[in-house]
Parts: sequence; C-alpha cells; structure tokens
Amino acid sequence: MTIATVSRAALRLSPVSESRRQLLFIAAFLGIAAMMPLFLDAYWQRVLIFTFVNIALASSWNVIGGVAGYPSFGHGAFFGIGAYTSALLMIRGDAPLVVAILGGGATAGLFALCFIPLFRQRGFYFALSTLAAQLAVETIVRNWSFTRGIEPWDMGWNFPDIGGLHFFYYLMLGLLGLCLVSIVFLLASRVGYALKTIHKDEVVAASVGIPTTRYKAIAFVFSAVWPGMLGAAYGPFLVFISPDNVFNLTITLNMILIAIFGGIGTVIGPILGGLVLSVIDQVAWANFLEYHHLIYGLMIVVTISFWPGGLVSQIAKWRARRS
Amino acid sequence: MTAAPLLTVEGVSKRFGGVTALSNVSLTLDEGETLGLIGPNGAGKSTLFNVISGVEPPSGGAIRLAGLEITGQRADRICRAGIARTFQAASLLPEMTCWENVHVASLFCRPESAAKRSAAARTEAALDLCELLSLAHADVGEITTGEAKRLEIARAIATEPHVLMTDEAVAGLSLVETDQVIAILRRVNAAGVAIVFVEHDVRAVLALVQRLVVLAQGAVLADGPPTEVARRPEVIEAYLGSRYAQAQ
Repeated sequence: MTIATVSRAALRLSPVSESRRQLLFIAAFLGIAAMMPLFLDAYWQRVLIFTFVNIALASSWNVIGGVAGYPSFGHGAFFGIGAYTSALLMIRGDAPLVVAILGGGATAGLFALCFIPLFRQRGFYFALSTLAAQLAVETIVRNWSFTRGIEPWDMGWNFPDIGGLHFFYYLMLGLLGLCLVSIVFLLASRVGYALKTIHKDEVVAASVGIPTTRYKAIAFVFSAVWPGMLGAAYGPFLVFISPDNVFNLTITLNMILIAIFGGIGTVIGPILGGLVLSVIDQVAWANFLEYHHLIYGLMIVVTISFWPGGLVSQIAKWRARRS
Repeated sequence: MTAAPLLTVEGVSKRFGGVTALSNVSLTLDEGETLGLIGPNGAGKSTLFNVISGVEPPSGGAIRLAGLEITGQRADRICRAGIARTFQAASLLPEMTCWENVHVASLFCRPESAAKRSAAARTEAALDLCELLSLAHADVGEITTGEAKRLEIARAIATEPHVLMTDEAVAGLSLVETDQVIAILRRVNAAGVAIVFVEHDVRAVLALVQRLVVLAQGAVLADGPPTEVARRPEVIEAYLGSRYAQAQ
C-alpha cells in the first residue's frame, strides 16, 4: 500500500466509526429492551431490571478496571453510598427521586476523590486497598446513627412507594442507556485515549504529555458517579435497604465478573456479559436449584480460563474465521 | 555574545541506593543542534534520558529548558514544556494502530502547538514525515522493527517538541533502515528541533551529529566535535575499542 492509496480523510475516521458502531449496538439493545414489557410477565421484568443495573455497574467499573487497568475491588461502596444518599434525601428530606439520583451520583463522585491517594499503588495492591476502603465505608454505615446503622439493631431504610414495576423498568433502562452512551463518548474523547495509554504503559503515557494522575482520577470519579446514581434509583425499587443488600461484596464481584465474562476493556463486553450471565443464572436457578451456584461459578471459571478476552473476543475470532 | 543554550544539564547526579548511575554530569544543547551521546553499556545514557525527561527525579543538580527550571518535574509537564523522547526497549502501545499510537501524543502536545493545528493534522504530519502514512491503520503488532523505530520517532515528534531525545533509534536495524532513520532525523532537525541521539552505532552517530558527548561510568568523559572526540585516546579506551583505533 502506498500513501496515494490511503485516503487522508479515511485515516481520521477510525475512532469515530468505532463509536458509531457501538452507539448503533446500544440503540438496538435499548430498543429491543424497551419493547420487552409487552411480552414478559412481572417476574422476567424484575429479572431484566436487575440485569440492567448489573450491566450499568459492570460498564462503569470497566472504565477504571478494564480501560485504565486499575481493578477496583471497592466499587460496591459507591453503589451503597448512592442508595444511602437517596434514603437520606427522600426519606429525611422529602426530596423527589430525580434529586435523590443526582445527589447519589454527586456524593459517590465526591467520595471517589478520597480514593485518589490509592493511585500510588497498582494491580494487586490497588485492588486490596480499594476492597479495604469498601469494608471501611460499610463499617461506618453499619455503626453510625446518622445512617441508622446501629448494629445489631440495624433498622435500615423503608422507601415510600413512588412507582410501579413499569416505572422502575424504564427508569433503570434509561439510566443504563445514559450510562452506556456517556461511556462511548468518554472513550472516544482524549480521556479515552489517555486511559488506554495509561493501561498499556504508564511511563510512555506520561512521556507523551498525559498527566496520568489527573486522568486516573477522572476515570475513577466517572466510574463511581454511575454506581452512585444507580444505587440511588435502586433503593426505592427495592423499597428496603440496609448494608446487607447495598454494600454486599457480591455487588462489586458481579461488576468485575460481568466485565471479564463479556470482554474487559470493551464497551459491548459488559452488555453481553450481563445478558448471558443473567440467562445462565436464571436457567440454573429454575432447573438446578441445588447446583445453581456451582453451575454459575463453573461457567465463569471455564470462560475466564479458556476465553480470557471474554465473549467479545470469541465473537471477533468467529467473525474473522468467517471472513 | 552567544545565545543561551536551549537545554542545560548542570551537575546532575543520580543514585540508586548505593549505586551512582550519574555523577555530576553537565552538558548543554543549543537550539537546532544535533548532539550524540555515546558510552559503553551502563555508562548512564538511558538514566540521563530518564532524568531529563522526568521519568526519574535526579538526586542532585539542575536541568533547564530555555531558561526554565524543569529539574525533577513530572514527565508529562516536561513533555509539554517541549522535550520528547523515544525508549531503548520497544515501547509502542500494543493492540493499537500506528495512527492511534501517534495520535495519543498529538492529543496531549504543547498548548502552543494545539492552537496552531488539529491533533489529527499533527498525527498525519508526523506519520508522513516518518514515511508511515501507508501503515496508519496497521496494528503495531504487524509492523517490522524498522517501522516500529520510526513509529516511536513519529509519536515523539507529534508532541511538537523543541528537543527530541532518541534512545538507540537504529539499534538492530539494517544499513538501509538505519539510513532511513538518519534521513528522518535530519528532516526533523531541519524543522528546528534539536536532537540528542544516543546510539552504539558509531557510523550512524558520525553521520548525524554536530557534537559528541561521551559518558563513562556515569560521568562526562569527552565533549566536542565528533571526529575530534572519536580520536581521543581515553574515549577509544573507554568505549570505541582498539579495533576502531586501528581503523583510524
């Protein structure tokens, strides 16, 4: 190939066309999901609401864990912080849901700033530090009278009834859509370039002018704001929240597993991972109740062992073989 | 009256625990100059690069760029001040195209450059100058060693630096590939960029540089015109070896 055969305009299209493909996929996914209540009963609608939340959480985690390469094991804290902020605003402050959601995101984002000193560490040490931070936050919430966490007489919070199943279905779907679109735009921007470079080689990143700490902080705060907003919407959906259901470590674990299962560091991966794992989970639950956890766990171990790039990499390989 | 140097390294030292990698190193680089930096393995060349580019803080001494103190500043700030570098070991970003590898540098270049033309235009110009435009969409895993070396240079110049420091930019290349890199660096220099060229290939060094600095055991052994420095007995003894001396 010579210079003459390469269109100079085409050279610039690469990242844009990729974002366009991602946005089309997201639009198709959201369109299909929006029609599902016409065909599904209340049980499956609830399953889909949990799936939407899981996909959005995994996608948010993926920004810092997958794209920037800083695997946070404490991201569940932001979900819990969002849920508790929502409880304080709606129950104590009589605030509307939209204020609670924005407040949940803002509080989680502000709290994420406290994690910035942890960016001195990498890999295993960073993961453990963030896990310890989540446990610290949970302990505070459990023991602080302001958050009604006076263990062992943990009272938790009861939300008022603000909407039916359809309301929460479309609320969660809307939040998921906004979350995914914001991630596509973030990754197509210079922030996305910076994060990918930081992941691949932090010394090179700094040597080409990227202020690495600033961009890691942007990624971390961004990836904390969405769990905060989702947690704030999730509280009224669950009606009752306590540290046991919104600070549970399985929330963090699910974010990581879904992202890895679907394709870590990709936009589409957490969507596919969330959908496929939800189906596996439900099928195993309905047909093999006693072995439910075993089947679910086995699927994850097998996938990670044999397909470390997740479902997305397998689909890419399959498409490459076909073409 | 002579103009002040563009880059001044003054009494810089670097210690790693009990090991002294650089000891009181001083050198200058004028605007538009090409400076060769040679020395045996372990002489401190890469350490000096790391200290100047902010990858490692110096243990002592001062570094100034155009009179501005940059000693111990972060690498990203030093890059935006106008010093770009390549790395001795291949440091291309894997699973990214050649375009993306260069574009990331264009996006975070000096603010003055950003105001003049778009990041895409800078990327395109850098790839073009390094004769890599046809490989823009190629994954970096698919390109040859020679192309990888040129891509590193393209990424460095995409930041539109005042000073370009190349660390063994022709190591492992054929004669033809080496000459191609030298020609590219000459074009970069002709555009007004001063170059610090670290290399073991003496033929390449003598073909490119106007001045030669020899480092040995972390200290400056010689500094002067290349042909003169290359003839000094202490340089021959420390680095070039008897075979080169006999060839002269």
